[in-house]
Amino acid sequence: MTRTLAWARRAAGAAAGALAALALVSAAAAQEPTAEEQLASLAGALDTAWLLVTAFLVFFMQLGFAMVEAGFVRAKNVANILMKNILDCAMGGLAFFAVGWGLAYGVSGDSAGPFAGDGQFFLRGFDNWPSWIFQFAFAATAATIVSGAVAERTKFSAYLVYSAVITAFIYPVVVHWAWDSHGWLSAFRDDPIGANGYIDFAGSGVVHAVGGTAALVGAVMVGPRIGKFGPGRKVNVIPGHNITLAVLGMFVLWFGWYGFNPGSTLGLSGGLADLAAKVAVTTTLAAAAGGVAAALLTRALTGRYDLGLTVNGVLGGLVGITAGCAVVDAWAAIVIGAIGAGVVIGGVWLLDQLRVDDPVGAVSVHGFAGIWGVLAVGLFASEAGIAQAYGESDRYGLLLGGGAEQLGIQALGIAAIVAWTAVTAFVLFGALKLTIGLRVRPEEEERGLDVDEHGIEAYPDFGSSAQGLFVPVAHPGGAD
Amino acid sequence: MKRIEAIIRPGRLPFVKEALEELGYPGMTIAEVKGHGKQRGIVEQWRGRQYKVEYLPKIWLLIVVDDAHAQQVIDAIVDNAYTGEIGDGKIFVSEVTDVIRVRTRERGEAAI
Repeated sequence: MTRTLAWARRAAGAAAGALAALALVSAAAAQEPTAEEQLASLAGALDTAWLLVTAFLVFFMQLGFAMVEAGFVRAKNVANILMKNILDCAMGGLAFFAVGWGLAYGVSGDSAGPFAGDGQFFLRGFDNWPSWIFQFAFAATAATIVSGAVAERTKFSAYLVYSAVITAFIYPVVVHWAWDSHGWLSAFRDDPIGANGYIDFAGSGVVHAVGGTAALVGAVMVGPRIGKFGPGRKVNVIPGHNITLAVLGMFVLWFGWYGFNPGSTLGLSGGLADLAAKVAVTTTLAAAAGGVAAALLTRALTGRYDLGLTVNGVLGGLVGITAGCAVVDAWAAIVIGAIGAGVVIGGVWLLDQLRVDDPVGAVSVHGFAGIWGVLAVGLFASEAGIAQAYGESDRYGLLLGGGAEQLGIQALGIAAIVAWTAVTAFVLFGALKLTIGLRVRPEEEERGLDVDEHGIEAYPDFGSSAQGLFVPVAHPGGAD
Repeated sequence: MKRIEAIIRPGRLPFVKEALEELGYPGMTIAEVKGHGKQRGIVEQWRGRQYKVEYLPKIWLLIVVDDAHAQQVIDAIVDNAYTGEIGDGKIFVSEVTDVIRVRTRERGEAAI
């Protein structure tokens, strides 16, 4: 089967552009470049520019994460969550430089194995700069998901170690499996599993389910915040301190997603510009459907249009479409986004029942909706969509008559990704728990992590800290 | 002399203040307080789960007037703090035995 040339270089990035530019330089020394050489150079530069600009958009999502998480926690823990957001990005950059890239895409000899890359550690012998910055931005996204789920009680030092390990090791291995042309799940292998391999265009599984699974393991192992769960089945309410920040953060994330998904074409030349535009549309429709679905669903379930869950619902729609954004039709994007929001709201309720405390909904948004997004490819991928993004194939979405094979491969892929992440995260958090400890002391938790861990209050001269913990009331047809 | 303490809605304070100024009582002391009456707070919702906000923000207003004008001050506060909904607040009136203006050492009604 054929794959477009541009797609085969998910790892190679703008190597073609660099080569063309080199050719141009050497040609210029000897003689005037031909028109073809100049065009090739321009096309390469265009692809590189696209990769850079979308990498910067994905990086901007760090701001969105910081704002959503800061808004969803209490005022006494804002400085701490912001510090964690800075450091997972900063640690992640160094870890992805040292080890992460090498395990994801690194090649030492002729080819890497199916399970991990094996070269270019510390970027030795490496000059694929556009790809590195793009992939770093994705790694930082995967890393920052966890901070919200373990917010308001996790020790800063433990979180530092975690963020280095996920960007150096846990996440890059999954990237290699799914996106490197040698990875065992990869759709870009010469001999992929099934007809198409595992299709995860921008990373519902590779990025979001990895972050979401690690977030679930972390939230379970660190335990709930003091007072979150009462005796019996009582679930108390701990409102975040600033819903305005959370909503602004949601819009920043939505905006950044226009780099995350459309940027995953990795270029614009050779027809990829059209694909990127289509991806921008499916991404928009899924986010929109997620927002509408969450607003209506919460109205039906609780009697009110719930703002916090609508923030989560938009994000659930975005996470849901991330795997299939290039291969599904516009109508399917709406269905995927709406169901993504439903998955998120159901997930929030389920975690409360299981007494797992996730203050921002990271496990539901990134974990559960990420799994849904991967499976949705197997249900909704269209024949034309797969042809445009991955090459002609007679296996596509089950609901569109393309058989069950793709759904099976998607299920295998996400099961492998979740299992890998759960096991490695369990070992990581377990080791942290036994050594430096995962959790701050109870006195420190009640005083807030800001003062003890960082010696700062987020709002030193702005009102007093609210009570911050509420006994729930029964309501008809509510989440209880 | 009467000490008039009113617990009112924060949103009604500007109207009460204006009415009292028109009556010729520019001086008052206020504080932002929290509390609840018989209704015991209101129900809010955070990420799908409803909870009770037990203490609602109120304005506590203190003004001391001579006996002759107490009723019209009370009327002005009631008229302007009123919305008809639960939570409009209460006014407490008590006797004041003496008032001292610190700057001049005046006492009694002259110090009000």
